[in-house]
Amino acid sequence: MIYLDNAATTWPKPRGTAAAIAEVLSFRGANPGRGSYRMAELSSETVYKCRCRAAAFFGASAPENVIFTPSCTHSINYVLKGVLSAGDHVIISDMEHNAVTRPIKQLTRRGVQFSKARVHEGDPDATVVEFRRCMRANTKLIFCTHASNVFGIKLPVAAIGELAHRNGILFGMDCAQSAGTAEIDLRSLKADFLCMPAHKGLYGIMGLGLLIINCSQKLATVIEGGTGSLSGVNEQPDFLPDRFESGTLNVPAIAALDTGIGFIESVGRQRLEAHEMSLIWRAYDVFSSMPECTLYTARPETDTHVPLLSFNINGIPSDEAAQRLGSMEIAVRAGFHCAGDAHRKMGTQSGGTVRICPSVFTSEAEIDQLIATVKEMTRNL
Amino acid sequence: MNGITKSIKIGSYTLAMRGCDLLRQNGIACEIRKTSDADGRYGCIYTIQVNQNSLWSAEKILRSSGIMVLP
Repeated sequence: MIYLDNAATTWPKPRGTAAAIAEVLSFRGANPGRGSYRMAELSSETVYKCRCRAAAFFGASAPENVIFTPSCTHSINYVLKGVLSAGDHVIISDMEHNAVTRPIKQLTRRGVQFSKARVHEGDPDATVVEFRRCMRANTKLIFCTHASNVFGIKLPVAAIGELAHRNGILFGMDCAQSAGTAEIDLRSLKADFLCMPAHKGLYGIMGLGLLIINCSQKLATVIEGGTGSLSGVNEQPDFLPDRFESGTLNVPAIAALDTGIGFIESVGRQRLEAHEMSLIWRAYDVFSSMPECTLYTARPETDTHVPLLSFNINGIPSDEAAQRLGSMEIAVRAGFHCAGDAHRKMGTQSGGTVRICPSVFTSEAEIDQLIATVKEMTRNL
Repeated sequence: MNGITKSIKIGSYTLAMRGCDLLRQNGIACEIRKTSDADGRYGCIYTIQVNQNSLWSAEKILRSSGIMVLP
């Protein structure tokens, strides 16, 4: 199978991932941060090692600023619902995933106000002006995607972070589509919260997300419970990471994430990004020359896009195109990609798009096979 | 560790691990132990065990690194 659905989850995983999980299940399977016997210590060490690696990878100031959550969606909910309360205003972009728009919709029922800033592809200054225009006296948070999960368009997060901090506003990012691929370094980026999944560009497995906190703001909690610390106190701990890690951690997934980040470090993030972008160019350059295909963005570049591509084959609904590609063993994603706003913005709300996203394991030959198959599909149109 | 050991109370395992890393980088031998505090004030906590003669330096290093030491 040619797997081009890496924007949904990367597959295959790096060599060593399955072994790392098996090691946990076989020899480190105790509950971390609870027991004092050797296997519990080994389990805790597994968690701490990954926490340190993730902190270093993203430039977090300390390992405890890395919070493990069940998913990126959970991380986003922790930030939005932890920061915002009645009377507060938040700015999001017009390209957000439902992981952002749905919690925001829910928060409006509790008296939170929001504005959507328009993203201008290829014009970061205009995008920042839009965010500035949306600011109000009660704006407490700017929260936006780092890169659209449908169209790959990156937002100018460095400038948006500067804008937020200059105005005393917190800034959070949904890095679902960028973490592991695009540069994210908290030593230079003025972001207060990073939310990301383990199972996409970080090459971990499903069931784990990260929330990296880069500010002293005390977030309200969404979930409270056992943390293995201060167990005699009924109040939720106020220190990181325990404040946001109630319940037993997903240690097998954490071990897999540690392997995944280690793999990216060994390959080199920039090299990985360049490889994936070269594959996107390979498809883009052919599809853009085909009158039977519609593309929706400028030719992607690493400073303006992450390496993924949405397109349509004219006359074939995206779902049908994906089904036909799937029947020929080419795995792509079609439809709305859980981001209705992005489709309404780009005019694809009538049927969505076909999305391809390579990984470091994708080859040029596989992209050529995709291109040949799409050409074949257009032959009888 | 040899000799008389003293316990430094830390809230969480993560902070205890980071604390031990820092102390070892500064040449102070230490171990982490999970325990329950005697008066039941905190319940389950972690302690960093250090030699008595390192206690003052260890606490200073931990505090200056933002690691909360419980009273």
